[in-house]
Amino acid sequence: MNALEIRNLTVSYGNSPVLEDLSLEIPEGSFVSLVGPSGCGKSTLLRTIAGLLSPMEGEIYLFGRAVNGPSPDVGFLFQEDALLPWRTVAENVALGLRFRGLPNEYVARTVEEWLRRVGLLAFRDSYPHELSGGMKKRASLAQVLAPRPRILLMDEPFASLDAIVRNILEADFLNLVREEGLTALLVTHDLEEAIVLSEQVALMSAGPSARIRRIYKVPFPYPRDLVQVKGDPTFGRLLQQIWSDLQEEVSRMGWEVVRH
Amino acid sequence: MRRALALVFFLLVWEGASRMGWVNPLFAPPPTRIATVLFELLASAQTWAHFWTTMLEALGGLVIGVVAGSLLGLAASVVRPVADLLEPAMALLNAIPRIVLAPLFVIWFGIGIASKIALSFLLVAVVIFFAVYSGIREVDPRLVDRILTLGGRRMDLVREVYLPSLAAAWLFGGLKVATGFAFTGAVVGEFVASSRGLGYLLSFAQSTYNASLTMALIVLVVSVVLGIFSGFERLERRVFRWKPALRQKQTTGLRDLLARKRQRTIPAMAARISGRSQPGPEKPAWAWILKIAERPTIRRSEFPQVPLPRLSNHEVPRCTCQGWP
Ligand SMILES: Nc1ncnc2c1ncn2[C@@H]1O[C@H](COP(=O)(O)OP(=O)(O)O)[C@@H](O)[C@H]1O
Ligand SMILES: [Mg+2]
Repeated sequence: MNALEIRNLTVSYGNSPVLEDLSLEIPEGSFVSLVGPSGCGKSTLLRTIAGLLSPMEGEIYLFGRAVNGPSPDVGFLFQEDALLPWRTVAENVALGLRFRGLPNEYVARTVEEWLRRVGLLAFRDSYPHELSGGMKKRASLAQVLAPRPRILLMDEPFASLDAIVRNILEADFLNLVREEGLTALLVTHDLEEAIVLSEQVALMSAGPSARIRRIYKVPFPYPRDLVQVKGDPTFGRLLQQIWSDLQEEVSRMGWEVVRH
Repeated sequence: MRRALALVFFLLVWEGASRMGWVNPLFAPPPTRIATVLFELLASAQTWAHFWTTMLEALGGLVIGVVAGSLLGLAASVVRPVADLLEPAMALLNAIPRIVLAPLFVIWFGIGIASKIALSFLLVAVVIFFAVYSGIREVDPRLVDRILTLGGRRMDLVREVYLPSLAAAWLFGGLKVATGFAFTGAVVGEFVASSRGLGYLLSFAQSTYNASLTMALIVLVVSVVLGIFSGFERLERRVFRWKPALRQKQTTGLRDLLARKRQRTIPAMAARISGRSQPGPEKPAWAWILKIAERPTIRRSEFPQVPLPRLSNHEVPRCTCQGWP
């Protein structure tokens, strides 16, 4: 079964469509990255899948069910770590579980397990402003994964981190996603990251009226050694190919749009 | 402590100046004289009747004003037409010095406490309205998305996002200002027309050119307001433990910064002079970070401005989820 199926989706803010007639399928358990010129509508697409925006036309199915509003099957990781500033790390991680009305004892146990998994057990009673960027990211991940979603949507989750933390987090995110058997859709503007983490890279065309232009298969099996993958000649060829297609898309946009 | 000493010094100078006749004791009576008057005031049952009248007016206006201002602010931020109706009216009320309405209120509500409560109420409600209205409208939309995607419902949104934002707006934006306004409203209302209250005593003291009584009354009013403020501050510290600014307050002084800088640089300079490196563990746990930092950094492709990135095959430390560095 497909975890995600998008058919002829059109989404617009006001009159001009951001996405038009966009279709995409993601098989269950696979890791797909979405790349495209900035401003082409990647965030819009993710927000629509998450049920935060309603489409003008077309359908979205998650695990066979039509999307109309936020779904418990979806975990959404934003670029900014939107942790509640007035809640401790543990309370933040517990949020999704509490919204589902789970018994307190189960919530406490699950929160502790997740804090241990992401290495934040010692910071359970800290407030978000007391954490580093990487720690907030891990807290966010625990918060999103604790209620056991089936598909993880990520909108440039590593964009604000420095290179070292990012490399470590990428590898760990991939491990967690594989361990949990999650389907993942990652939006990124880092082509290397897209290739090294995913099975498929989907390239979006330049907006407005963006759609999926092409899908590239990444031929490396899991579990992956990210370093080895980056050294592989196939990786280089793939990167070059996606890059040239992307540049073609970018050049179709005005310079102003690119700067934006 | 330093401020208390400064105050004591100031009072001593004033006392001396007044006693030596450098300033006219009729205008600026010595602090000891004011203190004596204040104690006499506090000892008399009559004063307390006036005191509680003013307290009743101010706190009554404050409570009703906070409740009404909050409800209106809430309504305006939830129901669009209410906002269209209220915002211009409130903006107008905010722009004018509302205190000029005092005589009108006396005509409407008489010289009893009702007119003073009305004045306090009006002063307070407008401030609180704007604090709540903008507090709710400026709620971080990302937090709303966060709650919704985690499966939160409308009630969860209210409890987890709107109420905490509202509390912040209340306590930081409005409550202290509103308290000041509530007492302003009560006392000024009593100036205009009344037969009771601290404002009435003040206008009596003024009409008899009794400077020491006037100052004693001012001290009394100011200490009440400051007492209420300190209560709010204690509440703030309790409620806003999550706020970064409140916690770091003590460490941001210039003197602290200088002290810390000195601490850091002196051992470093000593080490440089003696030609020895600073003492430390033989192989620090974080040595691997340095090892990575020494190598050329891994190029990241940030399109579209950056040209095609060179391929990288540098070693990245593998790390399981257990062993975050
Ligand atoms: N809330 C909004 N209202 C109106 N236009 C928007 C809004 N959010 C995004 N857009 C526009 O939609 C387009 C796609 O935005 P976005 O999905 O954020 O792109 P991406 O994530 O690919 O950079 C952009 O042109 C942007 O200006
Ligand atoms: Mg985006």
